[in-house]
Amino acid sequence: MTNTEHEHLAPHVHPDWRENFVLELRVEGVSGAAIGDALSEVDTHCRDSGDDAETAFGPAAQYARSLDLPSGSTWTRAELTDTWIRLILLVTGFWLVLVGIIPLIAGRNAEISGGLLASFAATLVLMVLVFVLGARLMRAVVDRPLLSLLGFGAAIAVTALIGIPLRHVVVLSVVPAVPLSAGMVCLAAWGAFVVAGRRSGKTLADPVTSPHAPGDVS
Amino acid sequence: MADTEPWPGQWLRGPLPLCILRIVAAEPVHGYAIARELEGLGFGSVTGGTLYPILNRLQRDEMLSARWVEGAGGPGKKIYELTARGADELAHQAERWVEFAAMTSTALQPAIKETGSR
Repeated sequence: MTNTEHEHLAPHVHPDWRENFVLELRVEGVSGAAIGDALSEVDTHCRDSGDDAETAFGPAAQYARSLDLPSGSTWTRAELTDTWIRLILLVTGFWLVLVGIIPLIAGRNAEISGGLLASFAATLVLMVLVFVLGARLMRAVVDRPLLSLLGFGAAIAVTALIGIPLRHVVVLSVVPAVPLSAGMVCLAAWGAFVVAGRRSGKTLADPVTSPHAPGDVS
Repeated sequence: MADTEPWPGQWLRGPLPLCILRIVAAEPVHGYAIARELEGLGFGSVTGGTLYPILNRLQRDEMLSARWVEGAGGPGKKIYELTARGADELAHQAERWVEFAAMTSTALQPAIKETGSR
């Protein structure tokens, strides 16, 4: 996010105040349209009164919270399903390619161990948690960036370490071409989803929009 | 109390929403004009940080509706209007507030006389 990103919406508001305000409401999960509305109102007040935003409204984050704007995803069920399918195809595709490519180079069978399956399942669980806890995680990242970084690192380490006890339990042993081709199919399907999404013109982005004229002005 | 001394915030919190409804009831109006009107009524300088969260809450409670109106040759303004629900609330609560204020005055009047006689 740059200091000029929302300048069109609020040219009379100091860039730092403006961006802190938008960031706080983003973290709260407020929709882009509602943020644009609130920011434009701050701008008209500053323009009419001649006051700067800090004087008239106090600290940006505090004012943003005081508005108590409704949070919540504006995604439809179809958009959510589409996102989940893409994510699962991408993660599964990469995982299968990795499972197949190393044995292919080494010239041996691909062995899918209990450990690999456990790590894969843990990765999916981690993805679900990130998705479900989205706004709260954003809050943690903004308030405690270092702690959040350590937390994410620890979570990723857990997904890798969780499979160690079962690493010698072979569930399936196949020629490397099997997981490799399955992975390629998943990645190709993911690519097809992305291309289809772009062609349809649909986007999951939620830009901060002006209440004066519908559309993304950021 | 001297005229220039601001009213305590906790005093303002009670009647301010109702007074905002009264101002908007007179005519559809934008936020900064409401702040000016409140100042003119003697509430002192009501900052945006106090005013807009109240306007937001009144809008959420469907006491007010709002729409953006394009300015003549300039940027637009968000105009607030009283809803039927807001009008009912104003009529009901205004009467109670006047009653409450009169009761408070009656209760405190002796203290002013006592202070004045010292």
